[in-house]
Amino acid sequence: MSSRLIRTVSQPVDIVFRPSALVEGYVSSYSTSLVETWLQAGRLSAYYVLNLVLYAIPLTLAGYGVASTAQAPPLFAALFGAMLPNPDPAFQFLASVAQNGAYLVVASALTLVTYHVGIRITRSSRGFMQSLHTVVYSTGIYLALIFTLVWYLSQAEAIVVADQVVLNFQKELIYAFIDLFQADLALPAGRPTAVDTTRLTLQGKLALTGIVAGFCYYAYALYLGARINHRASRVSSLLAVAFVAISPALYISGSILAVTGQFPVPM
Amino acid sequence: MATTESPTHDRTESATDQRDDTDTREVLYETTPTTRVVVIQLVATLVLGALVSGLFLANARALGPGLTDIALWIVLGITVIVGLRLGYKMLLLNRTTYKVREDAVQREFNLFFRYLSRELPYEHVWGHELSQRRVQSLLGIGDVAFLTGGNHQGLGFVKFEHVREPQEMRSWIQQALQEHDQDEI
Repeated sequence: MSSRLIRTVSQPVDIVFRPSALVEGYVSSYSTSLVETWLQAGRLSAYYVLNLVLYAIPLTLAGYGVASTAQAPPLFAALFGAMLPNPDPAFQFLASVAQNGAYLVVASALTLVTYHVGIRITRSSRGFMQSLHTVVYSTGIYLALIFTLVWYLSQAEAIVVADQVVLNFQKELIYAFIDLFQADLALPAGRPTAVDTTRLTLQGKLALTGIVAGFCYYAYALYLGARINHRASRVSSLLAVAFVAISPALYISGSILAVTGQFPVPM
Repeated sequence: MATTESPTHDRTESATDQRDDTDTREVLYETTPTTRVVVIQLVATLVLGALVSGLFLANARALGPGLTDIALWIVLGITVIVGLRLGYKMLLLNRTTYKVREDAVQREFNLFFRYLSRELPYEHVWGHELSQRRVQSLLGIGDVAFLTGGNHQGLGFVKFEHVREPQEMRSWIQQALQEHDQDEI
């Protein structure tokens, strides 16, 4: 118990200085019994959900992210009507929290699939639990930080140029695939335009620095997970991280398929 | 001394506790780790960080106005964080001692009023490994790792890092293990 407490208290230090301590899983216990494995899976899931809630609730309270305007369904009103005179705001808040968290859940799931596939392809896998442990900690902390900063940029009225830099980067990535597949698609906001980065404010630069640092830590945590939990070689670990890096390509290609109904083929 | 649940055991003491100086067991071989590799890593980190930062400072528009500042901050941040980590590791190694006792191998360190002693009795040693990375090999140092069994949340893998004369350490360990096995018979 005391060791868990120490580990929790030292986590902020580990997030910056020792990401290896975060992603290092109990490799030996994953292989001992099915019961222990399921218990560990439960603990990891609980930790992930906690981080998801810690990420999504402040975001929603601050007015960032997706705001729900839906009315509370009859079941929700029946369950909580006695406690809440008007269940609609409570339902809208919970729905917003769920929608804001959904982006991170999708990104985490994509990371887990591509990461474990990368590990398996390099024949370094020591088990799915090792990958789950690595991804839970790397996405629950570093990816959540990245998403939070991106939301902050998109909503902060005083930060305009930094927001445009991030949007432009996303547009360039999406249009690179649209052009590659010669798909007849266009984003509502159109193609990326030149951004005058001389007008970047200090706040904007700090936010962008945080995003870049977040990505560096995210990739490094995945690399460490492969090295420590799967005992993979340096090359195999780098390949596993490279597999995760191509997941945006898979996501965008999948989106093009979903919209056009045609399997995207590079032209 | 060794428990049945865990082949290794840690003893952690706070500032008010004292190290156990009444241990009468024979110490066959004792050494401290060297910090040479860590010093080289630290110097390389600082030099590389300074070089890249200097490049960005000299070319303020290398990546575009504004974006170069971000790259500079990232490089400086990485340099500081890695530098602090290596500095802490140097401190740790300076305060660490490795002992080959007649019945166990022991790793202990004493830092900031915290004392930790980790012992691995020979009856729980399944094997040991001497490894030398390229830089370690050039400097004549290496790591000696001990493999144990059991479910003990990672404590079973005891490792002596940055050992000054790893071949001599290994010889003493092999001798101690042989003598222990003969005593058991």
